[in-house]
Amino acid sequence: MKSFLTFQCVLCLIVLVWSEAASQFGVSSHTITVQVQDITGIQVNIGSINLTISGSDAIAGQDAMTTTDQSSTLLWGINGGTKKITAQTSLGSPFFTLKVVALSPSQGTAAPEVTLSSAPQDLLLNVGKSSGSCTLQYTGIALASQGTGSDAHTITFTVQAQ
Amino acid sequence: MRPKQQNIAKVIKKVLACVTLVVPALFGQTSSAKQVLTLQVLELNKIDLVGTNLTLTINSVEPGDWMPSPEVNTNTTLVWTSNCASKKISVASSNASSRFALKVSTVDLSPGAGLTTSEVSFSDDATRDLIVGVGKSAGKCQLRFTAVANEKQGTGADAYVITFTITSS
Amino acid sequence: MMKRLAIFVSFLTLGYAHLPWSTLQAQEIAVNGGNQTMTITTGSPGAEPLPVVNTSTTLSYKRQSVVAKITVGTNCPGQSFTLKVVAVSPTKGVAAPGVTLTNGMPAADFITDIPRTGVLNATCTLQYTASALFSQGNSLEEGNDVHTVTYTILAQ
Repeated sequence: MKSFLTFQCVLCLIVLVWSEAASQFGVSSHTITVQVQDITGIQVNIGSINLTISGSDAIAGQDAMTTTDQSSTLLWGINGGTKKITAQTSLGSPFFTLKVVALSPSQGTAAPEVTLSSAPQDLLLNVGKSSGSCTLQYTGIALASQGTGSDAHTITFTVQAQ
Repeated sequence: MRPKQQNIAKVIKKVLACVTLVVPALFGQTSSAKQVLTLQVLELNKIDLVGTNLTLTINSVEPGDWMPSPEVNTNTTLVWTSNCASKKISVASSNASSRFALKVSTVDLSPGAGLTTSEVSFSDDATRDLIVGVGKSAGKCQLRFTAVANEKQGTGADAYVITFTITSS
Repeated sequence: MMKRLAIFVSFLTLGYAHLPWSTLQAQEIAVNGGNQTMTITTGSPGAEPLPVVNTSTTLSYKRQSVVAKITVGTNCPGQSFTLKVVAVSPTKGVAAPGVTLTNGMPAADFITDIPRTGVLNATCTLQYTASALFSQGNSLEEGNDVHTVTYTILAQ
């Protein structure tokens, strides 16, 4: 009995000493779940721009007069899939010609320059998960024979599944 | 706060939490962006000359009457663009009292770009119409300059600065 | 008498041996507030998704017989996004700089210099910040990051 008691005491001491030797007094845990929703954001840095064809844009003897604008930047943030960005205008039948092309996209591939119409047309392709930007180059074209006037476009850029 | 009020407060908190999570999800993210672009075309008129400064030299005579032969030059092209109706192109010389005669007319005027007038003589510094009825178009024509002298005028030189202007009719 | 003492010691030993380690130590440190879900819902085009901050949980801990510290670690298999934690306003000890919780990381200091004197109980707010890059994708494609975050108090 005495030896058994001695054994028990030693065992108890080992358990207690082990806990102290580990120098670990306590542990507690909980679970943190991080969830990221499918986020798609796109914006243009300038709300409205004016594109004017004036005398300086004309060359004597040439019917077509052009002017370009590169002041706008298209920005996007996409965290899902491979997407494309399209562009379209609110004007069903613009009087003058307005073209747009994406320059120097940080992600994806720029589509060839398109003449804006009321149907969506590809502007950028293969835009992956990224936060990126590109310069928008607008080109307005008017013929001398078309005379003067103005077209008010509301241009919509849309992120779509490719 | 009573237990009932506490419950109501809890419910309000939960609703607000839901709104906080759901509203940005619905409206905070936009998969499209809009930009307003106004393309405006102003009235514009451009006119230019293609060619170098000219020197017309009369140094021959007509066989038979032995009068100095007129000197003709068609090396200059007049080009213009206008997006307005009812314009005309006029011409004026800086030389108000020239010794010899200098005339200009158009050749090969672009169809539909305007109507040529008769030959214009630079007898003074007045402005005269060269092409009328210039509409919304881009046009061009060759300029035919003719220098004329007679035997009584002897020899010498006239210098001209000739200005072409596109104006309203 | 000896027999009773032997029985008592046996129970004491078995009790220590049977008790789970965390249960044994539950009194010394505890996370309050339960499990949390942090959802990133918005992002700025041209920038990155907006981080989300959670301060709903607290950590309770006790002073020890020696100067102590609290470490933090996580287990998050297949982690895709970023989670940071920092102790806000610890009533005992010094908060370490924010810790980025990465799956399999060695335990990192969270609160240090917890004195062995003074009042027994202490708390701090756990401030979690979840962030993600657009290039890191979303939970629909990558799945959620589920972190089991463990706080340990030990001798410094």
